[in-house]
Amino acid sequence: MNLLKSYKYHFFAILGFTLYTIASLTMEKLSYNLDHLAEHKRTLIQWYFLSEGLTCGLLAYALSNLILWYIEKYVDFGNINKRGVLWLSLVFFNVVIIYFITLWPLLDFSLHYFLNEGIKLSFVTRLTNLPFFTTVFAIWMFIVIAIKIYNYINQVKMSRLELETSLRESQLNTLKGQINPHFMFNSLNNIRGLILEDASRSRDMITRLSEMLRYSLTKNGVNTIPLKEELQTVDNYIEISKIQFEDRLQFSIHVNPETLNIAIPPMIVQMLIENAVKHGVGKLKEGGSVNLTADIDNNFLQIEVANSGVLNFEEGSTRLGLENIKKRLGLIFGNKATFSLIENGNFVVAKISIPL
Amino acid sequence: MISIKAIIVEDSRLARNELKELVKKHPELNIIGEAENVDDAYELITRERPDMIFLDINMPGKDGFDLLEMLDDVPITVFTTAFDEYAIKSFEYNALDYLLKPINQNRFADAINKVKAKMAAPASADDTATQNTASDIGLRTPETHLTENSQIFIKDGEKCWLVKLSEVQLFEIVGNYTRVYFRDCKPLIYKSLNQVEERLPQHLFFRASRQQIVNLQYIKSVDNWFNGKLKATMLNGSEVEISRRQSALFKDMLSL
Repeated sequence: MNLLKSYKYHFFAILGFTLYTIASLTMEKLSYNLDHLAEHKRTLIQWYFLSEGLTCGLLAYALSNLILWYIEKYVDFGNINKRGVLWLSLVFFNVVIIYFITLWPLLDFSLHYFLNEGIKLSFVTRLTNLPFFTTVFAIWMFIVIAIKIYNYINQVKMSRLELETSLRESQLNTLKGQINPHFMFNSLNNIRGLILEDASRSRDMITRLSEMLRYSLTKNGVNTIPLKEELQTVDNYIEISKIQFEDRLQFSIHVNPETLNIAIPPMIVQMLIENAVKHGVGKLKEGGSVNLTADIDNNFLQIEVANSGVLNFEEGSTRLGLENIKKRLGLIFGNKATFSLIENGNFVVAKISIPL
Repeated sequence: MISIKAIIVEDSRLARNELKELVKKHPELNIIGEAENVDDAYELITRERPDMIFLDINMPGKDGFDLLEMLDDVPITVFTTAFDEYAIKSFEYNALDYLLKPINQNRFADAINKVKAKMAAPASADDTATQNTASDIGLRTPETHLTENSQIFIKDGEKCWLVKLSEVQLFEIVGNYTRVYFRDCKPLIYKSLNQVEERLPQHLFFRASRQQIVNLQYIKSVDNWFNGKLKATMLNGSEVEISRRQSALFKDMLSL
């Protein structure tokens, strides 16, 4: 919320400043001085005191906008440090000094207007007013900062809620995309056929399918997992797909060992591989290849999945899956992580880059 | 014992083996060929003329529906699919049967029984005998005319139909395409009326005009119209104008 642009704030700020100065300065002077003044001067001096209070209040309000401008432009309530506090104090005291310097000529003018005389206070006497002025500003700043912090906390609460809902949403989406029923049933059917010719490989396939199921059932609530765990699932998926595609699926993998323990959001690499197999190789009569690489470059984890074939955006499900990947990367890494999908020669290349 | 000639269309070798394992319990089923993609399947089916096909929906390149669209005369089709409920629901009147992989042996036997029933249905009339022999000695090459029992596959947008030619009342020109009228449906097919006419059995269908081909069995009455033209009233009440030249031909044909 921007207070500088809020009419409500300005209304209450003017009201607050003038009421405070009139109540604490003018009232006191009036009640104290009235008894000691000559009758003929009373009305005029009452008017002067009132103008004095109004001037003090309005000038304070006007200058407070300088501090408010500074706060709204430079103070980040999510990241307050010593330096920030120091700068704010510096601005605060500078404004008080400006106030101190500009106030006396104004009061002098006012005194001339009502009583036709100048202010005859010494500098030291004037200085004694400084704590009072400072207090006016301090009270104001306390209120402003309280409002700002209140707003900030609300904002944090809201965005956390938002993050949680969208995370849950995307987890749900991955869950849907994850246990792809078409893949499940085709695999089970293929294993049934495989039992007739290679019992031990069939047993291996059942284990792999179970591992994939377990992974998808248990890793859903997790926000990140080490890359090597994800690669295990990818390996299972590829091996099971190979009994469906046989010679039509070629897979190669190049992973820098240093990347193996880097934490990544689960199912993202797996989804890219699934897309590559389903919409790339799966669409080609003669089959094709899928290549996976993971490396570190400039403090970024770079994951690349390339598959033979052409980009085809007609299919809603692909798009949804890719949007999902983008969204999850954005939620976890902000705009530091990037995802791109391009066509390069006879290959479609999906690239993820995650900050380390 | 009858013998059912069947072709398996399925991209996964293991799935084909798995299907053949199920077939072993049905000696009447005779697998005469296998294809692992739609183009091979098209060639095999037009050459071998099977009684039925086991057809996977999801295949690389073209899918099972594409194959049905390519075929002029669609054999009895049993879809085999892992999980394509949506695709299967697009079929009207359960024209096709489907089996979910992995396939249950009992469910498989049911499907084969349905195929047998379908094969037996048109056999009520005496023409079946001749038809079967014709097919057996290979007279039904792709160039010859279809018969009234030939099935055509029609896909218009989200809906699919498998229609016997004898059910079609009328073909009508719509730009470069043809509208097919049958039952209460009138989907478009992406062939010109001339292409359609070439393949239709002549004793059943008559070219009424440049725009329309009618099924003679669906004509209720024919009246004289002006300029020497005729007007046919169809069983469903709609009227079809027969052009002057065709009217003469029509009279000739019926006077025989």
